[in-house]
Amino acid sequence: MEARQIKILGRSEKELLEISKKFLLALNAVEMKKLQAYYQKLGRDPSDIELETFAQTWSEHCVHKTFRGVVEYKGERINNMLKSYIIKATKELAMPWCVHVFEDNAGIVTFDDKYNIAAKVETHNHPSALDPYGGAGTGSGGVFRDVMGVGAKPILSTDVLFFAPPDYPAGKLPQGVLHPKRLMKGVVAGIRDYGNRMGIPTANGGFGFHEGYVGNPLVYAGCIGIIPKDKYVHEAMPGDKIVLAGGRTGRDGIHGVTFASLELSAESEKTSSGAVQIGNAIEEKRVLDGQLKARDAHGKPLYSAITDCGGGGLSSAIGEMGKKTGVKVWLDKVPLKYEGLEPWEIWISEAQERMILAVPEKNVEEVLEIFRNENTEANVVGEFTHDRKLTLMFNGKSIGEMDMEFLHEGIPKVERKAAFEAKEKKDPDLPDSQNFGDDIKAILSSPTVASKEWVIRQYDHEVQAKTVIKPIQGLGGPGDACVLRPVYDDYRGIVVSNGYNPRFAGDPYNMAMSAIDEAMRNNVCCGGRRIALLDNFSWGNPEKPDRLGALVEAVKACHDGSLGFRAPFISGKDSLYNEYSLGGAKETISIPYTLVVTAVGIIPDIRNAVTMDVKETGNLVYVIGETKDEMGGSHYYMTKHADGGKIPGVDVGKAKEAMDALTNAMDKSLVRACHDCSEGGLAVAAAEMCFAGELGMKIDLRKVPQQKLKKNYKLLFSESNSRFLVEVEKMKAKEFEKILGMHALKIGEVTAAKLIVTGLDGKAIVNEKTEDLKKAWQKTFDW
Amino acid sequence: MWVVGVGYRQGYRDPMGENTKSDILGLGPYNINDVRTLQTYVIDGEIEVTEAEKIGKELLADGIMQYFSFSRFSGAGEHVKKLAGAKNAWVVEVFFRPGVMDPVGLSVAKAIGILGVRKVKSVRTGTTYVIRGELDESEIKAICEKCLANGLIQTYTYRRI
Repeated sequence: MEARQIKILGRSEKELLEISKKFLLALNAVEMKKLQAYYQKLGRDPSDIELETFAQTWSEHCVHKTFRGVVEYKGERINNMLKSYIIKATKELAMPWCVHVFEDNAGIVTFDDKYNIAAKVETHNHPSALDPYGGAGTGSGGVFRDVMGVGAKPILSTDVLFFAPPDYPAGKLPQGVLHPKRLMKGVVAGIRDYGNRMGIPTANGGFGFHEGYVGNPLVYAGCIGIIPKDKYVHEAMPGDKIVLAGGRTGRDGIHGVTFASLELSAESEKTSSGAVQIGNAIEEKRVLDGQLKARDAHGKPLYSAITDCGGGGLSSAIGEMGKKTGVKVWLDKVPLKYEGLEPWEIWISEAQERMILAVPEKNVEEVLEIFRNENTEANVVGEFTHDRKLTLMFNGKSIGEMDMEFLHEGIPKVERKAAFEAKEKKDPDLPDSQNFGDDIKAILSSPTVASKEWVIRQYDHEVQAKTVIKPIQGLGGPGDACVLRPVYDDYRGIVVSNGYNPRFAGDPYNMAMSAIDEAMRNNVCCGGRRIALLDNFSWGNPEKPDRLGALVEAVKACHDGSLGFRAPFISGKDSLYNEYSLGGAKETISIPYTLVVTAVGIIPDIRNAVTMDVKETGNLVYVIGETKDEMGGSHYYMTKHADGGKIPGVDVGKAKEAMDALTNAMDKSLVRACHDCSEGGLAVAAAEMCFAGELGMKIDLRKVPQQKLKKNYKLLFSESNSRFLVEVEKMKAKEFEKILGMHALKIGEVTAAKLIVTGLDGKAIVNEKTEDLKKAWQKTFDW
Repeated sequence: MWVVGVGYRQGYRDPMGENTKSDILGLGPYNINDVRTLQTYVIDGEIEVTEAEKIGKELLADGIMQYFSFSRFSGAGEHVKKLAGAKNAWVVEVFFRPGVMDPVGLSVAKAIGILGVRKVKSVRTGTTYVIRGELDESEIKAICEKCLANGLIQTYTYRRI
């Protein structure tokens, strides 16, 4: 098999674009021309494998062209959004506990004086749209490998999933699209099988439902890992051998990365079948066991660097690892699943369950032996050099040679224009009602809020025996965060939570602020503090100015929220081009702009962790935070088919103060239960706390701190941020009030069996049996 | 080539079958009575009858709740006839397309080797659905495409028995 030359010299722009399209390179005209100029200087045409390498390395997935490019927005020239906002906030905060942020496969922060935490969240949207089971499974497998790629051991899987509502009318489905219920079942099964088989607990996550995801479901897979402080290495040296461990290479997922940079259409099924893979969790478990042994066999790891094969396969993993040195790769040494692969296919295949290790020559035999003992393959497939060149060999012949510098730095910056105007929609100001029992039940039954027990019971959230606070709390209620105790001889714990709300997408700045606030308050609810954040954007086509403008707004919010909460971002990822065309229409539709913020906090003593179920009748109920006229994107309006209103904002200074005070009160054991108000507002939070404890609550809306609200429904269902409901014992009330000060107000107490709410005019406007509320919450996903 | 089918004995619940039935009914008001499923393994290799039996008994089927049957692979649906005890049913078989990774198949092939049965080249896994009810061909086709098989990675065949 020989590498082909692809003639690009002397070609016109149009012809170059045709080449890009023909080989599924997803390179644009500027990039193709830059390549042309580069090869012009070399005086030769590129080989197919070289062109593929550039396509992979320069893909949106690998370099985040949009985030690192230049954006013109409202008279401003933003050079590299990521650096100018998100990373800038992290740098400004300069937290001493941030160890490696935004540089490696996963963000690393300290846990205690012996261990560090590694955290990563990724999206696997496009593959999951085509094959939900395989796509979601390999999404989990991929993010586990990201954490393994910094040498850590995965201890938690967390997944946030977005679909169209499961009762979406089948007749309305666009062609070539799977029904959301089928997607959801497949995705859940994929995550379940990968996590459970590998022995990694899936104890945290979330769901969002919105019609806008009908063509593009979103699958966010996250992983938390733990690594002894002295075991992190990331410096491949010239002379080190490249060891490829794990699964064999086939045609799996070829062009998966460049495919992620294209919009989906009904044709996707045909052109992208190579992008689909099915994971093999058992293989990955073997690789994990092997690499941990190689890490811990002696004082120092037997390898000098490690990384995973993810998007772009060997080309990205090896190319990135040898960036500073140079590498020579013998592609004929890569073990194959079957014969007949072209060298370029071997090079960019995204076959799963493979890790790359840089191993000093003296350790090679020992490392290979370790993997053999784990029943998995490991082979030397190349070596690190010092010529700063990427050289590809096949059967002794050079089939590609590229400068590392041009490969990694040569990519032309994209320059794009962005424009976004927030359109405030007038509040519909619905008439008030006398009885809101059915409205609360309607929201409890809405898919985003409803019980996910059907999902949670499929995931093993106990394996590894580290899960302290679990997804279903009390006698059955939705937990805010999950708490892990990673080291058995210490009570210190990790708290993991998420925040997102695609219904706020109309105001991307406040949508992002709300996501940060929600992730923070969920974490604080269980006792978390010293919080690190991860950002994950799923967006529409950034080449369209309105989409990009909205993205800039959200990124700015990340900066402001991060500084305000003093919570640095440590890692992030983006999935753009989530658009779909309906019925062959030319205009594509974007998904609702979705930012998932994952918060990773610490709790010094897990014995102080708090759950959300009310514990005892007679205890007092407090609310923290103000309720405002912020009904935009609310679940109440959704169930009433109403639209408009202000999207909730965040008063960061005040929120931070209240959260700190709440944490302080928890550390003094003053809090029996704590739950945040999110979808469905105060009313739904209260209902959830009641049925989780199988008790009741009597609360008075007249006592709720608020801003001139005259309607009961707004007090009950406004989704204002930074609010908590807290249960406190009577005898501890004074001390609690002293710590919280103005932030907390008493609004009622815990009773038996019923949720009773007194309205603004002094009459009862909710009088519901707890068990009826629970039934409403449980029935939706009674699959 | 041998094919081994593993299903639940009469009197035991078939959760996957029940689930599939509810999924099918979620698509529309189809006239179906029940759905039973069989995990299906196509074993490529020159093995003896006793070995095929051993594989079914010791590796693939749970002796208490499940039964298994095996036969030489003679084409889709053939092996199901005698074991499902079903008449007036559609038999749908779903397999991965060639080239799609089949991790369960790989593990089964490995396990067969550990059982002491050599000469097995590969194992492909699939699912056989036995759907009883009043359905015409266009309906079963729609069910296959919308519910049982993902055309991108799987192929399906159906026949009436």
